[in-house]
Amino acid sequence: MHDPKTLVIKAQSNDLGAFEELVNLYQNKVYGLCLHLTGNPDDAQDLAQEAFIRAYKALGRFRNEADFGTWIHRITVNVWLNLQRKNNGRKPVSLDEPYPSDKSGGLQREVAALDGDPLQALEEKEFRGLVRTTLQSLSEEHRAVLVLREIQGYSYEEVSRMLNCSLGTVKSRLSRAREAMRREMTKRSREAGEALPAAGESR
Amino acid sequence: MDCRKAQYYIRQRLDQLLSEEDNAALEQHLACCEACAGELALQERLSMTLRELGREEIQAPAALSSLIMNNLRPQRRSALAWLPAAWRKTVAAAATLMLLAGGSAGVMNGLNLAGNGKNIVMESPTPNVAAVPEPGSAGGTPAPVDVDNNDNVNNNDNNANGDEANPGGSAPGDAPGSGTPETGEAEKPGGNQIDSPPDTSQNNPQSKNSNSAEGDITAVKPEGDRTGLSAPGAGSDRVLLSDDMKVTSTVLKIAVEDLATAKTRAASLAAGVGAETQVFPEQTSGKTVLVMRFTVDSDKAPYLTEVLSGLGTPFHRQDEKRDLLPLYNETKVQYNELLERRDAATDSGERRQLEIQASSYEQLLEAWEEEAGKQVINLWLENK
Repeated sequence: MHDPKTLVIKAQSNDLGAFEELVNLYQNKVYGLCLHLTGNPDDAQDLAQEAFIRAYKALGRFRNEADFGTWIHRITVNVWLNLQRKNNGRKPVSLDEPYPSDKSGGLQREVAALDGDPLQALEEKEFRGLVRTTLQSLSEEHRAVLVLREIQGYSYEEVSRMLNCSLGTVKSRLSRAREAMRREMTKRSREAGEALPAAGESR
Repeated sequence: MDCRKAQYYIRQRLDQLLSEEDNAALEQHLACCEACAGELALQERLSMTLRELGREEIQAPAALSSLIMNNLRPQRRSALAWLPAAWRKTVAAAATLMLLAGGSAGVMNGLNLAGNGKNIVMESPTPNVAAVPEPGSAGGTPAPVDVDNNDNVNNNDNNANGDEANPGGSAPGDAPGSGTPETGEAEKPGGNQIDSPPDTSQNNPQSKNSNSAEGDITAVKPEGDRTGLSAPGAGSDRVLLSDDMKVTSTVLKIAVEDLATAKTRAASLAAGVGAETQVFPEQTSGKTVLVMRFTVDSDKAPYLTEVLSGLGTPFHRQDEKRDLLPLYNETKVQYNELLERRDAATDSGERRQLEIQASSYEQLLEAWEEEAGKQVINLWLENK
């Protein structure tokens, strides 16, 4: 088994065999990210393929001191973001502006109204499933930061580098993403389950 | 503190940004505010769940690796491997068109042997083929390549995916008569018009859609004698996704009294609307036929077709629309790959080879860029 750095150097000199080894080494990692971003295996596979191909073409610009996995993750998320923007045919709304409803009063009311918060009653498995599906309903920017930071565990600095935005932007976007998740999860959970037991009841 | 502040602090805490002091203050609030306490718990649960999702071992599908490598590797190793798939498809498409238009072997041959002008579609990939080689010895058909083209047409008709190598004979559209394109090219003295561009460092823009800089490309001359491959920068400046690349082709067959007169008139009519004219060698097999090919701006095309019809008695007309976009994009992808491989090549022989290949792609791309938005009129003149 070759070490990645050697493989990269070889691949940079057009050694396709070396690149294939890199693919084998990193495909689970890349595919995993793709699955979290796209939410389904087919799109994930397409995205993973595209990411590796782009990576190969961009190998010339990869500085071998950097981490290859992070680098290809960066490519992956950006390919995905571009694809989303293209498909949605719209410029992304600036999600770094405060939500209209994100006023102190509104949130406070909402917090105060959380009597028998349906989410609290959910069991682990249900909660996790809800997280998964709600994640897919988020905007691409929100999903990207949440996936990179919370799921993949990248630091703020790494996320800001990968997404090419400032640290402050990453933080505020993350905040909003969490709020959006919470809001949406509550909504879905309410809609789905009048059948959901109130907090405290055993099932 | 009030709930609003608490909410803010909660967010900070989730990102581990709270100072001890602030954290203590938050805890105080949480102790007596069930709502906020619940909110924090929820958010922490969300974070934890997300992290768990990240810890799952996800397996990439088994097919992924081969899908990727097939995409990166050239398809088949054969004498034709160097011939871009797009070329074969294009030549086949063009040949098919001529067949449909009632093209006889003569016409097809004529179109293929044309070595001048910008008839890239049917020209050999080495644009320097100025001289039309002797027709081969094969019986009724003037050149062996003719047969190949027929084969090619058939093959490609059957191939759903143009990436298959052409199993039949020599490369279609190749310098007629030469069986092995690669060696043929290498041996041609001065036949390679490519001067190695100064070695630029690897500065290929990311193959994501970059802006078109078509102004850069026009440095290449339209005549067969092209010099110099565009620098990597310019080459990669092509728009990957052009807006529209539709080409309309018209085939018009006219019976005329006198070929020479008709030819002269047709040429001047074309010149009058700023069309480019290309004349193919006369073919005689029973009848004498002269084929001329005009490339004209789309808005002038109807008029030109009209007046050309007036040169004699039209007996056949066929219009066809082609969308070049898929072909163009596919070719462009391959072209960019070639450029990057060229830049990465350490061996100078390999580098040169890649340059040659990339150059032929480039010409094709340019030809298509020219063609898009224009109309092609294939005029077939024969004696009454």
